[in-house]
Amino acid sequence: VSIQPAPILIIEDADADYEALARAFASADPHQSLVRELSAEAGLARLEASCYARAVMPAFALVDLNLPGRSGLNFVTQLKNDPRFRSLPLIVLTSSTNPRDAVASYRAGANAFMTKPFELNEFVTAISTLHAFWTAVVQLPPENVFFDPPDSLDVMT
Amino acid sequence: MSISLIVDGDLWGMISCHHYEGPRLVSYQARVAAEFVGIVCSMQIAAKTAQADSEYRHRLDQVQGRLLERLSTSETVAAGLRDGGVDVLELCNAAGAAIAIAHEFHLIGQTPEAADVQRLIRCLQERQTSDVFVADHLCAEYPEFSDITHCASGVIAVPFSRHQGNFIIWFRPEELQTIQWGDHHTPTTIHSLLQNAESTPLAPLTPQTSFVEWAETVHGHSARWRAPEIGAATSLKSSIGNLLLLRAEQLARANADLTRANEELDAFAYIASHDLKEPLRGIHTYTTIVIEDYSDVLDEQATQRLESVLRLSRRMGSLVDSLLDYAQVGRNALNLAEVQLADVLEEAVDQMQVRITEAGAEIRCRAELPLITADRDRVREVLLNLVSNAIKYNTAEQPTVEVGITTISETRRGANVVRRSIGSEREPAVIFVRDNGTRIEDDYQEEIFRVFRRLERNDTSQTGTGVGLTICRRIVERHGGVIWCESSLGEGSTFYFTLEAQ
Repeated sequence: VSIQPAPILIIEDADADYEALARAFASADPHQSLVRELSAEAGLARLEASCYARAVMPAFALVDLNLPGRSGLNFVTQLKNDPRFRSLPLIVLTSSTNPRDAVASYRAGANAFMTKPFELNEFVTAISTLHAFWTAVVQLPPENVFFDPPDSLDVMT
Repeated sequence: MSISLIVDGDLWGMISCHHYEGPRLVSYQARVAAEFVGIVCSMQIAAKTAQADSEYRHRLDQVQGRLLERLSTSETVAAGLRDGGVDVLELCNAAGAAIAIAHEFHLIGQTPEAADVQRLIRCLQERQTSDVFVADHLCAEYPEFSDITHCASGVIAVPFSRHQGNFIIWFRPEELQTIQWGDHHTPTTIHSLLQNAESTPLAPLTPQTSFVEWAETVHGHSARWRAPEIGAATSLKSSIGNLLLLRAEQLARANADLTRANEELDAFAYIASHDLKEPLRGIHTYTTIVIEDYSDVLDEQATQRLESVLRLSRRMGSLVDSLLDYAQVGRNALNLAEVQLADVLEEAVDQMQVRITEAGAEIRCRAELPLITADRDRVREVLLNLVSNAIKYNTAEQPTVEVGITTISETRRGANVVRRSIGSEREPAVIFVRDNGTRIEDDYQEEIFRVFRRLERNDTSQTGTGVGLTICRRIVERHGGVIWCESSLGEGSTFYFTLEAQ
């Protein structure tokens, strides 16, 4: 019996980039489901709804820095300060190569910072590696951590 | 009997009356009358001197007014003074003047050699005061200047305390003076005179001739500076002081404006290139997808055209990246630290090892590279750019790049490009990157530092975007250095840049 893998939340407004991502994930794992939102606000609303309904939570989320409205950095900061979503791995995916953006992202609590490669085949390779890492190499938190979060942000013992 | 002439509390002169036939009593009335004559004389002298001075002062005021008017419109204060040289001299009735203000140095009229003037400035600087220096016998105070008395016996020096070593100096030449020492007659000398008079009784002895014996030729003196002249120098000091202050403020404001404009431009370049990148990646991605997904319906020519779209968008991508890099040099503050240049070179060479091996190039560094104060990452970028250019554009069978250190005097153009400020003794470190490749024509040696300026055709595969050298120049200039290129037939090209050595 194969279990449906948890979806991956992608917050990306540029269609070309989303299409590249979709192709990359499809080639990494044809069964991988993706959930796309066009803005940080919409992404947050979706997470809150899933949490409220105790519905399926994403395995991890990819967020673009340059978004209409609230920025990707703002999204990261907000999630990492929210006890419900703090343990959701967030990967910043951006066209920026500026070290300052990387520093700001990690400071805000991003779990990874990645620059989108210009070439599609490089993009596909990078995403396959990323997918393998977050789904097969590391262990992700159990889903109930989102529904019954600890009261404070203190480290759990 | 003598009558003192006192002007402004000083003994100005004496009227002395002699009587050689023996003591003679002058009546009380005559003494009172003589004293009265003395007082009237003194007052007349004071009044006449004051009037003459006041007329002179008025004339000098007009000269100063003219000069200040010129300064208000001149490009720099020093240039204005130079152009108004005649007025500068007239202001103190001097034969020559030297102007050293804000790294400008001008000599007007009859002055010592520039080197001697610099020597004098250093001496005056050691006095550590902002007072006006006045001397009509310079070598009495500074014996080391006895060799320039012919043009600088008299000196008025006005320092500007805001800036070290900023001076206006007026010079007067030596004037051989015959001074009559009227007050040197002592009883013994009078006595000897009397004896002479006895031996030649026909020569009548008068007070006037009695003084000739003490006349003396004095060397190393100039004509005395008059009070209005010293006053004019002092008043010019405060006027120019204010003017310099005003100019400094204007300059600071203009600089601030420029800095802001530059920052805005950098921010604009950064955002623009960032925003350009996004749609460009879209074009690139979709083109790739079309080629991949529709290969069965595309004919060969269509595929070729699409490949061209890919190549062009790639090229545009790297141009935008370069623009981003360039903008970032200006945006980020320098992270200054003491850096061993040799280590930085090693890092740079490591970073491009693949390219070096591919080209079969040899990187040499025989000299001992200095310790410098710089932003390590930025300096590595400079070396990386210069060394990789030296390989990239090298057509020699065995490309060789030499990195080393030299001095300004050993370069051809260094003395012209490196502007050293007056008084800065230390020479910066001059680092060079020399290749055995093609010669860069003289006309292009400046051109190549301009943004997006390249000497080869745009579409050839292995070349860069033409921003590397512009970035190098910007980095070096942000460190306060200069970068330039020298190249002559048959010896490849050499790039020099300066950095402050430790």
